Amino acid sequence: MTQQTNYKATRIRCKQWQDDYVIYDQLSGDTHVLDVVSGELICALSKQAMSRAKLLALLNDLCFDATESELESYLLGFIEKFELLGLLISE
Amino acid sequence: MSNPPVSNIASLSKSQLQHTIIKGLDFKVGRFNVRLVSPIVELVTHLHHLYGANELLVKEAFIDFHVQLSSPSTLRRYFRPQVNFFLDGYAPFKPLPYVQASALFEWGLNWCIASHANQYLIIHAAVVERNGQAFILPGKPGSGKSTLCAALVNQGWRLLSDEMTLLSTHDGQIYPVARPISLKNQSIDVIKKRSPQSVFGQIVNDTVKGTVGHLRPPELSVKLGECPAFAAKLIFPKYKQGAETELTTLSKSKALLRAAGDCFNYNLLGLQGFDSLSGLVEQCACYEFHYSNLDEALILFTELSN
Repeated sequence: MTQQTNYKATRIRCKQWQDDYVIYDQLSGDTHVLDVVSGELICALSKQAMSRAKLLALLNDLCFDATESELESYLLGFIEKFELLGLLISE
Repeated sequence: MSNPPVSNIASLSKSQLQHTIIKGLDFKVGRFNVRLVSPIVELVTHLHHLYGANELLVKEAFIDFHVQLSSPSTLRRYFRPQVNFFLDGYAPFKPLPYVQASALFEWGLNWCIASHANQYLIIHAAVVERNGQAFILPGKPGSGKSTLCAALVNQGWRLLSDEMTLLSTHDGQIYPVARPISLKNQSIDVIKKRSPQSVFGQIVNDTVKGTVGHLRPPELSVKLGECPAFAAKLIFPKYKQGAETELTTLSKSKALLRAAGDCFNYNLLGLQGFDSLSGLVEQCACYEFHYSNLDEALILFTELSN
């Protein structure tokens, strides 16, 4: 049986103004300005953990005109980037 | 029973002031209580000219900053006299030439507030108010914020500060600390020419910042030292010779990031700093402002405040 990986954004405070996103990392004290897609994803992940499939579905809603491979590639980059920053953990 | 009348520094004659300051002059600066001890005569003149409206404190008042300015008692005082600034007996700066005593007092007091008043998020920004709206003007030295601030104040805007915006982390309001406006180099003549009635303290040459002069704050602004204001505009000014007057809307995220870079204690306050600053950005319209013509700048600011 394969175990499903869930992703969760930790230790961040999100702030949103229309398509304008800022997050604050409570551990490092860093402030980041995000694009709308990353902002939506990370803020959703700060509220609840999500599986890769759920994240893809959310991404699909945000970028309905993108192809499946474009979405896959974006999500891969997103997870890598935010894991590297320590803002995203997999459980 | 009625309260006794409030005395201010102007109620003391210059000789009374000189006599008092040797033992300790206790007075209000915005919401802060300062005790200044100094034998330096130039400092007496500085206070007499520029701090007349500041309230004197009653004897039992709690003092936030115990400040002392004095000359080192080394032999050097005979050849090249200097002045030291102390807070609670500690000298945070190297001594400066004696003639810069008044400038050192102002810079030292800035340092006292910026390093200790962490009940506020402190932004390196001028802040002025008109029609109940505070305009915050953050900027690095040379951005033209103090010149713009002085010109606005001379047009009747209320001065809250020319140097630091005190954003309360408790209620999100801007608290005033109306003190003399520090102008540098050409800005001194620009303001003197525009407002010949304006009162300056001693003009000090050859400081680390060039020529420095302090402009007396309006009496009413000093008297409103306990009254906070509601922030309405966050405007990043940039003076550039020959530049067109241009006001550009700035996104909230960019405004927050820039303002964070202009704060003295954003990192120190952590999440509280982020929450306070994002609250400020949320309630303000945010702009970038380029100018070279003060008249055009004043018209634009007046329109924005109407």
